[in-house]
Parts: sequence; C-alpha cells; structure tokens
Amino acid sequence: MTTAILELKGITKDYELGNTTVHALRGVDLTIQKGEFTALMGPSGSGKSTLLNIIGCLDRPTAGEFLLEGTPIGSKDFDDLAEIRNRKIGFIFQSFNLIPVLNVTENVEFPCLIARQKLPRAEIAKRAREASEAVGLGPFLKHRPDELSGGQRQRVAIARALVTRPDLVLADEPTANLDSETSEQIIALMLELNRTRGVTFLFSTHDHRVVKHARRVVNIGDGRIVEGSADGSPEAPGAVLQAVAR
Amino acid sequence: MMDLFKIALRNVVRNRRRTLISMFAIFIGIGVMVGIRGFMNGLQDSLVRNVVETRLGALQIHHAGYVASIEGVPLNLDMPVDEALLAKLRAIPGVRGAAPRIAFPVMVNKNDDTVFALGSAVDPANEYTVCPEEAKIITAGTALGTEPALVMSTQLATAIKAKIGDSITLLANDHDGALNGIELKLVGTYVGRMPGMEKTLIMTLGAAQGLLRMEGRVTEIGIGLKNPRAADDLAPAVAAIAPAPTFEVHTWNQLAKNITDIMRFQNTFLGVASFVFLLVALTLIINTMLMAVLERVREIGTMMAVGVRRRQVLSLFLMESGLMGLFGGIAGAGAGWALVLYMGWRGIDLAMPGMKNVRNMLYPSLPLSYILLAVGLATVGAILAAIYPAWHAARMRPVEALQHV
Repeated sequence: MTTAILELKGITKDYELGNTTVHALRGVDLTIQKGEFTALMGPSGSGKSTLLNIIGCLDRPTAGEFLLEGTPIGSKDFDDLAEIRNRKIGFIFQSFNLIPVLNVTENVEFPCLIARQKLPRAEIAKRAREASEAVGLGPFLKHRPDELSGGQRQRVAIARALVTRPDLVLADEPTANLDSETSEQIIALMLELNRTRGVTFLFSTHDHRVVKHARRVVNIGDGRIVEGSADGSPEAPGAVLQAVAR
Repeated sequence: MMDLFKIALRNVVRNRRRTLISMFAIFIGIGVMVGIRGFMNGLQDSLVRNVVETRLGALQIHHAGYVASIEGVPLNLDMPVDEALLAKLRAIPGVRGAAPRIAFPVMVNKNDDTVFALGSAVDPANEYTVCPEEAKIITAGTALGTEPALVMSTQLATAIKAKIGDSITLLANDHDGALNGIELKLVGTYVGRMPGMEKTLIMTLGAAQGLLRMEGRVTEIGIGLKNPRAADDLAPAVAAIAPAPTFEVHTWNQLAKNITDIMRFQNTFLGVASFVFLLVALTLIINTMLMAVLERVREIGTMMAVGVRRRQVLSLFLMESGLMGLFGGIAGAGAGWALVLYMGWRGIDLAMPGMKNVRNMLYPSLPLSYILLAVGLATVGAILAAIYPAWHAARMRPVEALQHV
C-alpha cells in the first residue's frame, strides 16, 4: 500500500510584474507517493522551479491546497515553515549552495545544528558521518567547499539533504552544473539512496540522460502538468519517452 | 547558539581586508577615547592635587555659618584649637593630617608700598601633612619653618618691591575689629597653581594669632586625605567628630565649585567627542554589515531553506558585528591603555615658562572599569549598528534570496 507524501490540488501561482500578472502555475494537481523517484520535466519558464519552491515550503501558492503528509501547509507561519523544511524536506540545489566557511562535516551537520529540537551532539556527528560516507565523501570531511570539485560539492549537498532523515528530497536541476560523467554518478547515487533507504526524490531537470533513470516523469508546460499522471499511477511508457525525447 | 557563534566568527575573518578596515575604525575610535580619558584623568588629578594639596585640603571644618559668609572672611566665627579633636580627626582611616588655620584680610606694606591681600596663617608642621604641595610651590627662598615668618606670591612681592629677607609690615583688623600690626621676615615667594593665589600670603600661625588677638583660636581646620577623591565618602566620619550645629564640614569640591565646573565641562566635552568618534566608526560598521548581507543573499537563502529561522539570521549578523566591535574595542582600548600606562609611568611635565623649578606633573591614569566600559561600548555599539543590516537579512524571503544573482 502506498502513502501520499504530498498532494497538490489546484495550485496556482501568480506574480505581478509591473502592470502584468504572470501566471507561473495554473492549477496544478499532483500527488507524490512515499519512495517515488520522480523527474519534473519542462522547458525554461514552464513553472518547474516555482512548483518545487512551493513544494519545498520556500514560497506560498496564490491559490490551491497543499498537503504535506496529510497536513495543510497554507496556514503555517515563517518559523513553522522553516521547521518543516528543516525536519521533513531535504534540498539539493543546482549551484550546490554550500556554506563556504564550513567544512564538509560542518556543512552536512548544519541542518541538525540549527534545528529547534536539537539532537544530542554525538547523534548529529553519527548522522553526518553516515550521510557523508553514503555519498562517498569519507576522505574529504575536513575540506572546505572551495577545495572540492563540482561533483564532490553536490555530494556534500546530498549528504546535507539526507542528514535530518527527511521524508522528501527536492533537487532543482541537480546535474545542471556537472559534466555528464559526474551527472551519471550523482543520479546513480540518488537512485541508490532511493532504493536502499526509501528516500523520496523529486527533481527537476532538462537533461534527457538523467530523466531516463526516473521511475516517473511529470512533464510541465506553461504552468500546467501536460503529460505524466498527476497521481502517480502507471503511465504509458511511450508518453513518457515522447516527453523525454522532446 | 554556539554553532551560530562559530559561523559568525569564521564570517568575521572571511573578508579579512574589510573586517580589518572596520576594526581599525573602532580601534581608532576607542583608542582615542581611552587615551583622551586617561590624559583627562591625569589632568583632573593634577587639578585636584593643585587645589586640594596646595591650598584647600580635601575637607575643611569651620564654625557653623562660616562658609555662608566667607566673602567677608569673618574672624568672629572662630573656634578653639582643640588638640583632642585634631587627634580624633587624624585617627580616621584614610586621613593623612589635620591642621588649624586662620584666613584673614591683610594690608601688606614695605616702605611706601601697601597692597591688600588675603592672608592665611598655618602651623607648618601640620599644614604640610594636609597640603604637601604647599611647600613645593616656593620658587625663591624657603618654605615656612618653626620661626615666625611669612611667604608671599611673587606678584605680591613685586608689587611692594620686597626681596627675600626683607622685613614686611602686616596690618589687619583683629578679632575685635581694632587695627593691629606686626613685622615679619619674608623667607620665600611662590607662584600659585590656582587662580587668585597671586594676591595671597602665608604666615606662621602663632604670629597671626598675635596679630589678630586670637591666641588659641582659629577659623578653619584643613584635613588632608590619602585619596582626595574620597572626600565625599569620608565627610560623614569627619562630621561625626565635628558635629552640627557647632561646626560645619565641607569637601573640596563644595569649596572650589569652579574646579568641579571645569571638570564637569571637560567630562561633557570628552563624552561628546567620544560619542562622535564612536559614531564615525560605527557608521563604517553599518556599511560593512550591509555589504556582508548583500554579498551573502544566496547563502542566507540557503540557510533559510535548510531551516534557519529569522531570529537565527538576525543573531548571526548581530554576532558578526558584535565580534568586530569586541576585537576592535579590545585592540583600541588595549593600545590606548598601554599609552596611558606608559605616560602615567613617565609623567608629563606641564611646568609653565618661568616656572621651571616648579614641577607640575601630569600622570595619565585609567581604572580597569573604564577599559571594560570602552570594550563593552564598542561591542554593544557595533551590535546596535548592525540592527538594520541584520533585520534586512532576516526579512528576506528564502525563495527570492535563493534566486539572487
């Protein structure tokens, strides 16, 4: 039996640009089940990042309902959202976004260190060590971000996203700044974490080589889900491949 | 909080040049503030020493009502020389000496020259325990000894064309109002260290008591303290021995209001100058912190994305600024203090031209409490200066901060 980790119902997002209203999302319905490995595909400006920002509690929708593990998110204040991001969601960014003054271990530990309900220091260290080892960062624990390659930095970001043992990891174009070989390694790592630890991944990408690894592809265009099922039910592989091919 | 503190500390050394410039501004501001305060303390100590230890004494006892009518220098508001009372005063902890005195108006004459002056009669042996500097202001001849004699200001001596060793005639109204006279040998001349001393003379007490028909009586008891600044604290103990309504006790700062006014003005001026210096330094801190915030918008967005709350962002930037203030303050206060200690050890000779034989040394000094205050002021000031930049950072929306280029 599958459990929905997130449900979006009729989500819209409008931006005011001068006198113009930009409709970034136009009524998105989407359900992600626990343990899914889902790619969010679409051209630039299609609304992928906006959708990920709303799912990541970084932004609020203009209208619609957003449930995270069955809990409505709309009424939460800034600090509540910060706590949800801290405890339930892991982030992997296109530009890695590590904190430059912290070394690998400290970057990985960081979400645990700033948590409202802090874990014991030994537990934080254990989790950080495990997360770092899981992404193959063992030899680089004392390195600062500027001493690492792009692929290594993204591994740090993945370890940081995993350290709080979140229900959901969101990755916004995680391979966009990496060469193809490193991209393959990072996607393989994400897949392995999904398979072995049951971590739910939702990632946006342009990269067709990455999409082929996704078990589910949601295609978004002009602020709407245009292809791929909204509820995670099995799709016609052809439709997905066509979407990928485009 | 400790983890945020660690990050703040690393961020402070992240852009070394900018941090050093900001800290240098605080270093200068606090260093100047501490240095000037130390110099001012030395100046005020010197001022107090000159007033208290050259002329007044730290405390004075008079017959009740004397100070209210001091302009008339009344001889009838007098008191007996009570050795038992003097002994009790000298036994108060912190008291260095107690000496009986008479203040009186007097005409000073030599040959055809006569001038009016303010006379002060003292018992030299006791007087120099109350006002040890009194003997040191003599620029020619000697200080008073056991023999009946007088010393006068160089201006007074010049006015009546008197030389050391001359016999000087003093004319004064005695205790009963009758004019009386005495001849005394001029043994020394002095240059006063406070305004008004140019029209004064000092003579031995016994001779004055004869001149004024006040045998066994005086108008004033001067009290010297080991620490003249403790006058306010010791006044009650003195008043307990010389109680009202017979006596009245005054501290030097009550008797020399012009000096306390000067010191208050100096302190106010220093306060304003320090504030301006600090304000200039803190303006630089505001700028530095604003730049730090604007440079780190994406980083702030990242921190918020992983769960950092607004209050933590605010704390982080306030800590960074506070650390710059603390380090700059410690460096500035340390340097200023080192200079004050050195100058305090070496002393600054403020002898005026023509007074080379009168050493008027200024010893800058600072209590540790002022150093701590200066460092605290730098730290708190830097934290206050960072409120706007830190608030600006904390109010960012994570989604916009993450998209910042």
